[in-house]
Order: sequence, then structure tokens, then C-alpha cells
Amino acid sequence: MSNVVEAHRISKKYGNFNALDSLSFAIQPGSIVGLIGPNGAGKTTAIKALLGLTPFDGSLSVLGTDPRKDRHKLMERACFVADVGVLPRWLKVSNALDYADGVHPKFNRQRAEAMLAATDIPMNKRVAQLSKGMVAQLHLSLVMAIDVDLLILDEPTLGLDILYRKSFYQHLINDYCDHQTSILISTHQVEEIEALLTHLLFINQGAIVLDCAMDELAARFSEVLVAPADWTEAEGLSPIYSRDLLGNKAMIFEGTSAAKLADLGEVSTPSVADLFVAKLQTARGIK
Amino acid sequence: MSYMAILIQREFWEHRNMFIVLPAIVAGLMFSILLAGVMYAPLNINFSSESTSQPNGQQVQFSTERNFEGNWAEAMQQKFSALDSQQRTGLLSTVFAGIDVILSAVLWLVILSFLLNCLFNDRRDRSILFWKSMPISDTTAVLAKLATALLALPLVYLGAIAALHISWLGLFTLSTLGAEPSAWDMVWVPAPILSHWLQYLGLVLFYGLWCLPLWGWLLAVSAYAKRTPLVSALGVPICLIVAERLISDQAYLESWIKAHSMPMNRATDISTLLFSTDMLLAVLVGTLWLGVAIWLRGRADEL
Repeated sequence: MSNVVEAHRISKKYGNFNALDSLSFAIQPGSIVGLIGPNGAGKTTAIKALLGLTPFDGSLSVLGTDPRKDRHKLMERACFVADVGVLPRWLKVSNALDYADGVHPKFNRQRAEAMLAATDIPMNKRVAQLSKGMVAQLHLSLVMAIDVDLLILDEPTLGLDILYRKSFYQHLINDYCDHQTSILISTHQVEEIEALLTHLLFINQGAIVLDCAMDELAARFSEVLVAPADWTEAEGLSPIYSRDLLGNKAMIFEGTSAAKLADLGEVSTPSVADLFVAKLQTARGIK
Repeated sequence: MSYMAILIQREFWEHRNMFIVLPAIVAGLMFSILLAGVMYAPLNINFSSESTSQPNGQQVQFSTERNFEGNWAEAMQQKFSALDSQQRTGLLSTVFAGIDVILSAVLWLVILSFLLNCLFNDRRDRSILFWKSMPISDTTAVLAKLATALLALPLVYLGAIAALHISWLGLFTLSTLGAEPSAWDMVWVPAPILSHWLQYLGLVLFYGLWCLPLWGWLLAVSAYAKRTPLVSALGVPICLIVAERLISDQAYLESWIKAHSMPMNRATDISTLLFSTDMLLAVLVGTLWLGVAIWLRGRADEL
């Protein structure tokens, strides 16, 4: 089966600012990809390019279509949830279902109604009268009632409290873990989605700084807590990142075998959050 | 195209006040005035006027003098009983048109406001990201807005106009029950009800095409404007008109823009314009602007 997304040298400029700088990556069917980057890194621009929502240079195929030309065809097989603010405030919950039912051939109204029934969202209220969390749940219920091949979530839990964030991702896991749907989630709250992911894409200043499957992470990256006596030896192995930790240094190495590092201390796999900081600082030329 | 009905319905959800409540209120107010006129206000008109006009360069003197006692229904009864059937049809047609005027003017303003703001509002409130996440092409989305403005809205307003026509005749009938000749013979039989409504629909279709440059232009501005679409919508044509005046002593562009942006005098025979080169040009220019609006909508992002 061919890749769900094939992006080759995608670039996008806003004036002199390179929002996307020759971005290349692929998403395989069934994978759950975390697109992770700091604010302003180009996550949203990349997602908008994938969905045909913004013009760009380069070659891009999403589900076999060029999103610039065939956005509406792509949207029959792909769904998109942006942060909570995109549902129109005047839209009634029941009308949102009517609309999706009317325009989307793959929308399953019963499924959306069943999901909404499990929440406190009243059908006769307008989006303006719902809390942020309820709007997110409503949008998710609409999207999850559509049987698609690709789901794209752009900071879907931004501005929501911890209870909603947890329940949002819980829904996501429950509904999609046994599907063949590929999911791309952009966020800068790495910890919340770490356990969901099968693949990591780190983006910084419009460029990919890491493209790695989660199951390759342990083989590729190692973290060691190095005591002061071993600092010189450890520095000799070129850690990509080092931070002070209770008088020791936690160092992250890329491509260095665990056997070589074992003498320096206990070797572990770095958390995605630490790896993110490490790769970002490497990209910015700071260790 | 099968999505058109739901896309038009979505516009009615968003603009319920402008599309449904407003004509209902205006029609309700007009009906209240008619009702109050029958119930409380005896009409005592002593109307006299003289005017001069110059059709075809000739001086013609008009003078009118009317004296009525009683409410409008009684005055109408008095007036109509003196007319033959053809004259009644003519007068009823004039009054029907008079009833249309206010609602038609409101409709015109609502259409202008809707087309100017619809694509802009989607970008301003960021809901464009939601609409574009659905499998609706930009062409269908823009054409749905146009169909809402030029077909669905006029039908709703025709509903209000028709209700007023019928209410007016109904009030007259109730107020003159038992009088001779009967209201049925005097107004219902000669009233050009259906033909008047069909004529209204014909006019709607005519202006849909004749003013297509205006509708297309408003949609294009709405899809493009970064802020206050009204400024661009008015500013560009005004600049063009001023530039034309400065460069040449002609006012071709000015008169063309004006002709295709405003309703015409009722006396204008539109049938001669229907298959004119001017109409063809209007449709071409309008289609061009629609194409621009669709292209801009395709590239449009949240504001």
C-alpha cells in the first residue's frame, strides 16, 4: 500500500519569512504521527498545505491527490480538526449534524449522536453557548463519525483543561486504535500524546529536524546520567544534548551504541520531551 | 450540485435574522398599518397636486384632485366601483407594485450586504477552516452563496410580499362585507395575483443576470478583503470612475457601472435588454468576477 502522505521539498514563504523550508516526509498507512514543534515552527502551515488550505511550492500527494487541485475530493477521505475556535459560533449542535450529514457521504449520523449523547452537550444550543471543552468534543464527535483514511488534528486540545484533554485523547485511542486510519497530530504538549504515537516528526523553523519511528527511537537515541568524573569521556562521544541534573549531567546521544555508553552510567531511552529539546537545541546550534 | 440545498440552508441558519425575521417584521409592520387604517383611522384625504414633466421633450401638465371620506377600504370601494374590470386590474397592479417597493428595497440591501460579507465573515471567524474541511469544492461553495442571494432569498421575500398582497385584499374584503358590488368581483377577480408574482420572479432572474458584474464583484471582494470589504467594494469603482473622468471626457465606464448596479426605473422595458449585447457583456464580466471569487476562495485562509 502506498504512503498516505508523500511530501517532497515543500516550501512556503510569508514575505521574507520561510514558514516551510523544503520540507520532505512521508506518512505510512495506519501510523499515528506526532508533528511536534515549538510555536511558530510551521506546524499549522504544514497541515494547511497537506489539506490544500494554503498555496505552497513543491510536490505533495495526500491519499493520492494533489490537495491544491482536489481539496474537496481529498476531504471525502481525510478529516481535520483545528483548535477549538473554528466551529462557527452561530451554528446549533443539531444543525452541525444536519450539515455534516448533508455534505459528507461518509458521515454516520447515528454514531455522532451516540457520541454526543455520552456528553453534556445539548442538541439545541449554539456553539457560542458551549464551553471550549464542549466545542472540542462536538467537533471531535463530528469528525469521528466520518469513516476516513487520514485524520489530521492541529493542536486539538489547545486551551482546554486537563480533564477534557485526557478525555479527548481517550476517545481518540478508543475509536482509532483498531482502525487503519492514519493520524497526524500536531502539538507542543508532547507528553500527552507520547504513548499514542507510532512515529515522530519534529519541526523547527519550517524544517524537519527529526523523522523517526517510535520503535526505532531506542536504537537511535540513548540517554545517560553521567557523573562529573566521566564528563570528559562522555563529551568525547559527542552527545547531542546535555543538561545538569542533581550534580550530574543527563546526556543524550544519537547513533552511539549502548555498549559504548554503558561504562558512563545507566543507559535509557530519552523521553520524547527531552529528545525534542535536544533536537531543537542542536538545530539552533546550542548544546 | 446535490449539496446545494444544504449549503443554502446553512446560509439561512447563519443569517436567520436578515433572511427571515427582517422581512417578517417589515411585512408585519406594513400589515399593522393597513389594519390600523381600517380599524382606527378614518381617511380624510383632500389631495391635490399639479406637476409638469417632459417625456420626449414635450410639456405635459398633470393635475390630480381627490377627496375621500372614511377608511382606506371604503375609499377603495368607492374608487373601484367606478372602474371597469380592466381599469381595476391596472390599478390593482399599481398598488401591488407599491406594496412590493419597500420589501424589494430591503431585499436589495440584504443581498448586497450578504454577498459582500459572506466569504469575508467565514475567514474572520476562522470557520473557513471548518467549511473547507468538508468535501465541498470552492466552486460549489461560492455558487451556493450566489444561489442563496439570487434565488432563495427573493423567494422568501416574495412569500412576504405575497402574504401582504393577500392580506390587503383580505382586509378589504372583510371591511366591505355585504357591500355591492362584492369584493370578489371588484378586486379578487381582476387582481393580477399570479401574473404579478411571476413578473416579480422574472425581474429577479433579470437582475440576477443584468447585475451579475455587481454580484460577482461583491463576492470577489468578500473573498479577498483583509478588513472592511465595503471600503474595497466601493473604493475601487469610485477610483475607476474618477480616473475615467480625469483621463477622458467620456463617462462610459461610469454609466455602465451605474446601470448594472442599481434597479431600473419600473417603466424600462427589460425585454429589449434581455437579449442585448449589454446583457451579454454583463454576464461575461459577472462570470469573470465569479471565477476570481472562486479562485480567491480556493487560496483563502483565516484572517
